[in-house]
Amino acid sequence: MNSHCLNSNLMSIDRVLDLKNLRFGYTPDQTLIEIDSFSINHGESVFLRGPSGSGKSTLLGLIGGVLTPQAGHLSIQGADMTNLTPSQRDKTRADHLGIIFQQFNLLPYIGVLQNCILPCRFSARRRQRAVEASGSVMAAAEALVRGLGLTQEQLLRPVGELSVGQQQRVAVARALIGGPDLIIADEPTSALDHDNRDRFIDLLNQSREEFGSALLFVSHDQTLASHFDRSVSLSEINQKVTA
Amino acid sequence: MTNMAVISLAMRSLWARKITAILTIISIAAAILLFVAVENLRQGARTSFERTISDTDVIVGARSSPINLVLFSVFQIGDPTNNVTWETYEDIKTRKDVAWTVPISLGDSHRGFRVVGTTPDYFQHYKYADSQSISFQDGEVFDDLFDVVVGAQVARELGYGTGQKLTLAHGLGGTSFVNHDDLPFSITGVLKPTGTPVDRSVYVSLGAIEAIHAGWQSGTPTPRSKLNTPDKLRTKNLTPESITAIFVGATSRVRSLGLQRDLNTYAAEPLQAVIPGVALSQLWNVVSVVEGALALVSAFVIAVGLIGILTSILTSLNERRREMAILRAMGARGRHIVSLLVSEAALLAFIGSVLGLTSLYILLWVFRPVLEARFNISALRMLPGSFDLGVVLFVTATAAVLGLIPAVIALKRSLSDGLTIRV
Repeated sequence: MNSHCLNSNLMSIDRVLDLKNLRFGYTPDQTLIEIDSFSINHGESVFLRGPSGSGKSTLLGLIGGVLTPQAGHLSIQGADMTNLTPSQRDKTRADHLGIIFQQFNLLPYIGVLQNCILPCRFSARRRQRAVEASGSVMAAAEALVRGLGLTQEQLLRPVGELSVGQQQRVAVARALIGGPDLIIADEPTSALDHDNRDRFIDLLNQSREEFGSALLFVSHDQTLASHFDRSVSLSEINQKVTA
Repeated sequence: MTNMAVISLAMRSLWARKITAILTIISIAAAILLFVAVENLRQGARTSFERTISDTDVIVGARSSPINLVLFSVFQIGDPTNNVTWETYEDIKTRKDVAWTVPISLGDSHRGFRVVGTTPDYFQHYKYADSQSISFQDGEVFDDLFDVVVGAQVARELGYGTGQKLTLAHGLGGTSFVNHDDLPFSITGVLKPTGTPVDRSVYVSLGAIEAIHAGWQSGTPTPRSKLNTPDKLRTKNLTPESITAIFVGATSRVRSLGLQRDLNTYAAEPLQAVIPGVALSQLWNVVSVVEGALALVSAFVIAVGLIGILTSILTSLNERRREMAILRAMGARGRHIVSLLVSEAALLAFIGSVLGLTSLYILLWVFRPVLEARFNISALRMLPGSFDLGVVLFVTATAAVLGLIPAVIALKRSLSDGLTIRV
């Protein structure tokens, strides 16, 4: 058992995400996730095709450390999430993951830049890296948002007045601030039209390459797969799905 | 994440829901205003009450209850049951342990204000608050038989000044069927405000009380009494046969207990002697039931206000699932979610209670003249004190503890929601 643990830790050193024999169910008699092996290397972009009902949300909850697996190992940047306390898992998430949701990513009651610096409020590591890169977290946020094509005037608007595409770009900036190791994007383009969708993915890929962050892009739309290094179907790796 | 950052997020989040937040704050403010106002008025009333009489060691009247005696002799509430004979008064006056005596005679009124028949010594010996003497705003003590001195409130409400004439009415009611219209009095003095029942009194000499009733039988005028003229009356011997009560000052305070005992066992007639301080606290105990009920009601209002905070936060939780999920995804720990909601509850309570206190003291400053004039409360606290600070702290702390309820619910939910936002 000990040697197995050691082994899996060794294996995961050059991987940002490493899943081994992962089992999870909300109730003990109903397993939703059963993945023998899945990993993402540093700087790699992975397209994960997950139709609704394939356990996509549950898998993201497990990777984010909000849910705890019943069995198996899940490590992020070498840290085995299954051995950590909930608070340590929260810290790991804050330090290493950038998360982009489908839509309505932003807190409506604070400004664009305030939204962008949220991860730096919860992670000292990312705050430090943002300050090293740009002098201050606000400068880092501004550089990121401007780099993603928002004008100075748009920065000052209430977030509710930005278009969906602009909001999603702010979400990308927020996910990238402080250079996390892995960006998780959960259907970030589903609310965008076709042209905007391709432009958004290109922007996302360009920016995360600058930071050297890996990307896990989850979508049900197979046509997007060509934008990424590798494409995986959740229904193939998750034995519990009979799709 | 620092606590300040959580509080600043909580404030911005509250501001985004400002209508609910403002209503919640107003309900807390109203509750605090009511609670502190009741407490302040209660203390003010109590202090004014205790300031009513000072330096009088014993009050003597015919045998009745101590409270009744104090009520009619000092507060001018209720009716005297019986009188004390002039012989008894003379006897008490000449006792060795008695330094001074002031007799009073009640039973008449002027337009709803009670008339006190007494001697000029009254103005020298009757003290209130901390041994403060009654002083004149204008004029001087009555000298002639048909002179009268009026209290500050009497003068203000009826628009009286020195030199004006007035007539007295028989009985204590506001409207009396039997008047002493044929014998007008003239005002020689107006007293300064004292914040005590003195302000509502009309003072004449003991002789004047005798004079206006000269020739009466069983409380009604007779044909013979109609023949009395002021000049005729001035020549008569007007020493009363009896008086209503006597204020007594002992030669030393230690003697007053012995004096009280002696008078309570007075052989010639049944007397009641009370020490004002003792009777006042007995009287206050009667009032304090109402006082306690008021305090209880206003405490319940605060409880309702706090439940209001809880309700408004619990109601907001559903629409804020997204907010919580975003914060969790950005790395917020469980304790951040908890402190966000706890500080929101504490903020609502704190802002509400500070607003309530501020409004209360503004209202007190604005309505101070009315309160002092109408309710005789002259001892109000006009600036927030440590009690108010304690209320703010208590309400804020209680709200924070109550805030743990929605906090725990939100935390559990944010775990089961995972990192996926449900709209």
